[in-house]
Parts: sequence; structure tokens; C-alpha cells
Amino acid sequence: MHGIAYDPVHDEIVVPVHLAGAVLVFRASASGEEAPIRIIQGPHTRILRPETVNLDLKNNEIVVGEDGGKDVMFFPRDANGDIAPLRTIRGEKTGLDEVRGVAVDPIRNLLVVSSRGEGKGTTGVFVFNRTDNGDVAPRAVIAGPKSGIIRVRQVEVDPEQGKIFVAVKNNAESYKFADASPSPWNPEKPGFIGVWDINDNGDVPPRGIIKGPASEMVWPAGVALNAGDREVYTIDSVSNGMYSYYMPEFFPPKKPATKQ
Amino acid sequence: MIRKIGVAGALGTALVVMMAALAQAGPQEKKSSKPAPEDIPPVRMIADPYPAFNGIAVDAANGLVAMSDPNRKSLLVYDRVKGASQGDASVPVRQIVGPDTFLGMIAGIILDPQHQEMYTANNDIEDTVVVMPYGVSGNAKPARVFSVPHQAWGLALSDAADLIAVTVEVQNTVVFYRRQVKGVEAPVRILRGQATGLADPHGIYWDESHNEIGVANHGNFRGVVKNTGGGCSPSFVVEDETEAGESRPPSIRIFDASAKGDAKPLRVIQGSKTGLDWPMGVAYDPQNDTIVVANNGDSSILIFGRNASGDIAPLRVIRGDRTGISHPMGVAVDPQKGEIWVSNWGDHSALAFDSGAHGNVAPKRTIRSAPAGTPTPGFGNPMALAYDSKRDELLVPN
Repeated sequence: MHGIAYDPVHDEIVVPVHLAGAVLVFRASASGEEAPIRIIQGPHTRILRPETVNLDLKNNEIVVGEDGGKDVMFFPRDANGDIAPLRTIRGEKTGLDEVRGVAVDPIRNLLVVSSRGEGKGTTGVFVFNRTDNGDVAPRAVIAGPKSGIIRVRQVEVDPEQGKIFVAVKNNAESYKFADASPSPWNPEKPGFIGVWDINDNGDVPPRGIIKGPASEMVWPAGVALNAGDREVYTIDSVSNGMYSYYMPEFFPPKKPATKQ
Repeated sequence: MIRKIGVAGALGTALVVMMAALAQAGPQEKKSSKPAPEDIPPVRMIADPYPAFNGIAVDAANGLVAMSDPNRKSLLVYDRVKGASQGDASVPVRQIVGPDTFLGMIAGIILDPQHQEMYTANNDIEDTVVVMPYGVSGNAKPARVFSVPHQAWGLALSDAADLIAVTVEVQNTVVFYRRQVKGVEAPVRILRGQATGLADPHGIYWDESHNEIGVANHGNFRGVVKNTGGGCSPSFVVEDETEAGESRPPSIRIFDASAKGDAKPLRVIQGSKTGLDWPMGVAYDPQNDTIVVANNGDSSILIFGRNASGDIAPLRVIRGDRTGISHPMGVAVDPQKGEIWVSNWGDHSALAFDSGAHGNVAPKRTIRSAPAGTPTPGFGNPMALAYDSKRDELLVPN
């Protein structure tokens, strides 16, 4: 499993199962060997290799990103069984290749997708309209040398701020190791957590970044947010470590309401 | 501070729920030093500094037991008798680790006493099998490296056939290469197709005495999609049900060792009576004519007769709190000493049992990669996480 999402409204956990072409929903309190409460699987789902999932609770949808399928699918949040997707973003115009992360901004009605372009495809962060369907071009693509993006994984959106948080993994095919534990590998271009504005487009450097040896990150693959405690979390696929960062600058305090 | 680490399952498909003391880490505990504007140290971290055992192999002729370690990216070789420990970490004869080793997210391991070589499969990133000469340690270069399809997991070797067999999870395949394969080389043959019933294959053994191979299957089946050489490409034919995902019961499938193409298995062990639950490593025990299975899902070792077929209960089960078995990944048989070796993912340990053991029995010996009681986060190439705001937990899928 390379994706996961938590539903705080219904207290559920959603995971994609790449090897079984399925999306499973569990009780969030599940422990041990507990059966899922819902399974989206079968030929009508058109799910092939689900890599990542996220939730749009405002619109009551599960968003599924596929690497082999090179697409993003939307299902009803409570879908169960061999159910056709509500919408699918797929095709040449989309620019999507191996989809690694999906997130929805329900305030601006936008969909954010991280995609790894193998061959001639673009590796970067793609922004679509949330209700796009079929072979549609993205509204914006954040990619290029200034962005620092070589390889991407999970994305999250802070809709209150209109910010995109990206796990920029930047793994290369040639590995080098360092002596220090717990990060035995020392790639030449380590990954980082990058923050972009949701209206950014093109080869734009991140507006916020966590990166470097003190951060312990080598190839961060996941990103999660806890805006209440102003913390950013990541998981690293090299050190097999999970790191928590206190980042008040990423979560400015809300301004008190002004009396009219 | 970690309040609880619940490890529910196996590498590749487990869901690891980590309950960190987020609320207790108040602002007064936050570090403020910032070596560079963006180089921000974490306020908390969870990582395992010790090796975590995945695959296991025994070389009875040379008195060795070896384990693959995907956590620190190393191979560890121990004296199979002297390496035992009471509570401290055991001292390996050799540990191979470093930038030149090509070791990464390694899974299955085999030892070749005849040619003095160790094989291990890089499972999820590097898509290679690394072959190390006996006797090397530290940052050693491999004797050779060869490319395999993405998500290779299990390995088996036949001296008689001079072939190595490799299971591939995502392609539901067993791929056979000549033993001395190097670099990018076409396989000698491939076992793959609907009739094989292969579904997310993991462990594999080669029983030369009966000319059979046995393959442990998790049951995840994502269809026999089109192999375009560099990987699998979907055709998006909705009506083509062969491409739809399925969750099948786990199984052990035994094939003629010379099988290729879409060959039917000779026998299939599958069904509720078998107790199979995420079978990982699998081995043949010639002394007892049995098949030994690392049953990760319920932390047990299942032992079936070699000729077992259908929905049949195991002859013996090693399971219980006295066994020390915790989410086992690998099994190996030492016919010389009459022992079964088990590598634990849920504990920093490998255990040796009498090959006739059954029930809730203590192991004869234990090799530890960390002091007894050291917790195991259980991360294995993690790629995502989520924050559970209700429980103040972080959710990490493996």
C-alpha cells in the first residue's frame, strides 16, 4: 500500500491496494486482522493499480490516483462493490503519467495531483478543476528546475490557506550510502517537503521548504498536516523513519474577526 | 514518546498505526536550532536503528545462517550455533552494508554453498538481484547484479538445473534465469498466466529431489495485464474481466520444476482449513518430507505434508507466546541439524526450532539484531501517511 487517508467525519481509514486493484475502507478504530467495511473492486470500477487515495468530504467523494492507469478517479465516499467511477481524468491532454498523490481544495474547487513522468511525461504537481472529467488539460503545472522537483509522492492541501504541501522524494536510480544511522543513504539530491501556493504555475520555487541533513530526510515519500498543532509530518522510504516538524511559519494564526 | 505501536501484518501490505504523544510535546519541548533556513530538525522521530530481518537462509555445510535486512539495507551472516544470544544483540560473523553493495529494500535471500555466493532480491525500488561472494563484509561490491521485474520477492536455486527462480508480486509470475546471469539478461523461462493461479507470489522453494517448486501466494490478484517489457500496461477494456482486481484466498501452489508458460500447478493448498494467512517465506524440509510456511498473518509456522492438496489442515503448527514468533517473514530448513529457522519482522530476532516442533514451544536458539525487548516500528519502504485528528495518531501504510 502506498497511500492512506483518514476521514474525521465518519471516522474511517481509506487505503488503496495496488496488488488487488482495490480500495478498502476500514473503521478508524480497527486493530489487528479486521475486515474492511467497504471494498471498491471489480471490472466496472476500472481500477487497475491504485497508488494513492484522498477524501473530499465536502462533496462526499473518494479520490483515487493510479500509476499504471495514469488517471484520477472519483467515487462516492460510501461506494461499495463493483461500482463505476463518477468521473475519471485520463488521457493525453491531462499530462498525467504515474500518479503518486491526490488532494482536493473544496474551497476553490480544485484537484491537486502529483505525477511522475516516465519517459517524455512531466514530473510535477498538476492542478485541475475538481469537476473535470475525461481528457482535459490541467489549469496549472508546477514543474521544472527552479521547483526542485525530480520525483514526487504524496500531496496534501491546506484549503484554509490555499497551500499545497508536497513530498518531493527526488530519489535517483543510483544510490550512495552514508555511515550515519538512521539515514544510511546519502543521495546527491535529497528530497524535501515543499510548499506552494495553489495558484502557482510553471517553474516556481517552493514558498516554504524543509530540507537538509538536520531534517533527517533523505527520500521523503509522504506528507501529512496537523494545522491545529502547526505540525508537518513525513515518512522517509530510505531511513524507514517518521519525522514531525513544528512549523508555525507554515500555519499562521488565524486573524481575529474584525468588528464592523 | 511513543505510547503504542501496533503492527498489524506484513511488509508490503501491513497497516502500521503509530500513536505518538503529540499532545505531550508542547511548545516548550520544541527545538529552535536551525542549521540552515530550511534545514529544520524534527521535534520527534521514530526510526529503527537496528537491522530488521526479512528473508533467512541456512548453509548447513558451512554452519551459517544469513538474513536480509531492508531496514538498514544490509546482509547479516551468523554462525548458526555460536550466534545465539540470551538477551543482547548477537554478533554477526559478517555484515555487508554500504554504498557499493547495491543493497536496498531487500527481501528473499538464498545461500549457494557450492559456489560460495549469497543472493538477495531488491524488492520495490532497485529491481535487481544482488549476488555477494562469501567472505566479504562491510562496503563490499557484489560479485554481480542482475535485473529482475519490479517487485521481485522470493528466490530459489537449483544446482541440478543451474537456474535461479524469482517470484514477482505485481506480475503474478515466477521468472527463471540461468544461475550465472549478470546485468540485463532475458529469462530462460517464465511461469505466468491464469491457469497458474499465481496471485501476489512471495516465497518459493525448489525441491530437487522431487523436481518441484512451491510458491506462497498472498492472493492479491490485479489481473494478467499486458506485459510490454518494461512493465505492465493496462488496456482499459472494461469488459475484460481478466484485468480486474480480485482478492483470492492465499495458497501454496506446487508446480513441476520445469513448468513454464500458463502451466497448471500439480497441487494447490488453499482454503479455510489450511490456516494460510499472508504466507511469506516457504521451504521444503527433506528430512520430514514437509512444506514449511512462514504464516505472517497469525504469527505462526504451518507445516504441511509435501503431497498435501486442497483445503487441508497443516500437519503441525508452531504458534503461541512461548515460541517468540512475531509476524514471520522467512523460513529456512537445516537438514543437517534437523532445524527450522524463522526470521521475525515483528521482533529483532531469528529463531531455531527442532524440525519436528509443534504447538506453543520455545525455540532452541535465538539470534537477535537488537537487545531483547527493543520495539520494532515495522516500517518497510513506507510511502505515505495520514493524521488521525480524532485519536491524535499517525497512520502509516507499508
